[in-house]
Amino acid sequence: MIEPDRDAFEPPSDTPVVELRGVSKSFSVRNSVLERLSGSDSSAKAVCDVSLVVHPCETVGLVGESGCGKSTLAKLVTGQLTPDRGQVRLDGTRVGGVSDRSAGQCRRIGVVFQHAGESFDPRWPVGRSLSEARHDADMGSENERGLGDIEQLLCSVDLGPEIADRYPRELSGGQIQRVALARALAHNPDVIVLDEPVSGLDVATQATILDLLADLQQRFGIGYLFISHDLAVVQYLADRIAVMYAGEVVEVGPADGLFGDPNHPYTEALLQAIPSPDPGVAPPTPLDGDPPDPTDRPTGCPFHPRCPAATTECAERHPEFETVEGARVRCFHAPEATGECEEDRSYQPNRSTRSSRIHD
Amino acid sequence: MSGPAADTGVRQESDQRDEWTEVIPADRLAQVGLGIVFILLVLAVFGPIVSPYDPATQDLSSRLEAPSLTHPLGTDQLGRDVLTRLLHGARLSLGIALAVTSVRLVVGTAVGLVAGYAGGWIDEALMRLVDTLLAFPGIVLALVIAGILGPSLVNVMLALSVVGWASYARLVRSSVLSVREREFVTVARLLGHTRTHVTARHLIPNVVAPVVVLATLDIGGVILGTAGLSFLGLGAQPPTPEWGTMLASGRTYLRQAWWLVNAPGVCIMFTVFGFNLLGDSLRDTLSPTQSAQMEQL
Repeated sequence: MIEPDRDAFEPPSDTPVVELRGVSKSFSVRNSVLERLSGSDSSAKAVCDVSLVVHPCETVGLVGESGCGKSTLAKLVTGQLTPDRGQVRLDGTRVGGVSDRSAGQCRRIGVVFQHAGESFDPRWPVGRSLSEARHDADMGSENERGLGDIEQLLCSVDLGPEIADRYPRELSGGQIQRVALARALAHNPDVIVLDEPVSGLDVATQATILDLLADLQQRFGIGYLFISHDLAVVQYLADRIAVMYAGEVVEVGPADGLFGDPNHPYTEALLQAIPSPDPGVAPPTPLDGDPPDPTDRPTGCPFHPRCPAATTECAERHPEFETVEGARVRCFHAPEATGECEEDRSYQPNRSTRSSRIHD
Repeated sequence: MSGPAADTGVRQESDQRDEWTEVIPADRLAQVGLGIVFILLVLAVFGPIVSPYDPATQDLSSRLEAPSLTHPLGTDQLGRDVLTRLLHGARLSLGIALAVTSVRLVVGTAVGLVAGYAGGWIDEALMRLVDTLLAFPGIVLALVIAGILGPSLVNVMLALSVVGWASYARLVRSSVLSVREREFVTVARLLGHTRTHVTARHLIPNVVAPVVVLATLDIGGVILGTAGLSFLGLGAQPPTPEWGTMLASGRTYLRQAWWLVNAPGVCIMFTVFGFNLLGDSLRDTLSPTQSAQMEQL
């Protein structure tokens, strides 16, 4: 099995395939007619001022709790939503929502959703869905990746050609996820947005799908935006990881550094929440409190109400990004920003154990 | 390449045949419904060709004859063969029912698609119009429209079409609202396909099943409506052999010639009965709980 070159942190190309520049998105929450009349229209800030790039042949993992804005961010990239502020750029060109994008721009992005079975028309054999995805790709450019045929497409995701005649409901979870991946590849995208692509699968299937993803990235040089709440899965695949909290990216950096030496207290709390397979280790201590209400965000750093290291400064001022050991962190108490070492570093990740666990 | 393609075609065909032969005869009532509709269609198409009599030629020497071998369902007050007139009437009734239902279906589906897909004020406006139409008792509204337009068969068809499309629109809209939120529609949009493509390839095929059920159930209603309006003198005019008209003119001779009223009455009843049975069984077959079959349709 081909391992992605995890140490190559240097992006292979200068132009990122996807670039988010200071993107924000809020949803208006209208509770009742009375509130609408009185004008107390509160809005939920799902994504706040997020900047993120995905380079070709690079996997960017996006992690965070449920409701932290991961999926909203994915929808901003795919164009299902348009940002209120900021820009989404594909290959250096600013793009709008999906209805404003040309077919060619749409084809630059592939998508794989968590429930792949739902993402196929139940009335069509999957082969027809694949050719629907492939059709446009053939008209414009020559198919340089040699995936011209549906059979080849299925073959590239380790499926037999007979799958093309099956209906989505006839396929297993792992098979349909592979077909979904084949469809995402069908139009030769530069980047594939993977929204919890393995969350609904059992561990053995997860491992084979992850290996397949790594393999395909090697062969076709595609960038992945990999969204998951499962840190082990992200760690296995991602070159860089962005940690989101309450709609903000709080830390982004190379996967190894981030897992081995987290700089943001929230990243650390996330890592501590992973249960250890070792029975001698005490069960993880969950983070106190709940994520903030998106309609009523705390002042200053959004994490300060739950942060063990919070000071009055955290509650008053919003921290800016600072570069710490190749990672960018949004915290006043990041090790080098404050000049002091964090004391409570009980978590010591053991990369080899976890990677092998996924292989098993 | 032709080998696998041909195989696929054969496989799908046999799959579909299995579905239909499995589903419909499994249900006795569905068999009856399908049988009635089939017999009716055969009679409507071939009956008038076989019949030795003309539906309009009068034979005053043999008025109001009771059913016999020469006239199996007797003759009317002008000596015309009742069976022949019924057979011609079947053509008329089925033709009108199919035409009106098609108009309702097409108009209603179009309005429902637009409302469901466009949303916003367009949806709001169209649905209020639908609500208004649904608030009127259909047959009364049709009576008013037909009355204003004047008595003729075409006007009755128009009136019935205007009245009936609203329920299709509402049904299609609600189906579209649920289907458009499903991921495969999103994916098709993200692949860069146009709204037209998504509507034609994904939305319409996935909302068609409940519409087919409604249309089948509706055919009975339209036949009843046409007969009713004709009975009231607004539809087909004598000597057109329409079932409702025959019922109206036979009513005068109810005491002397029972067959004049009973024959068209029983015809109307059985036709409506047949279509309703068929519609009911289709609804059961295509209900969301049996989504596998619904998806195959």
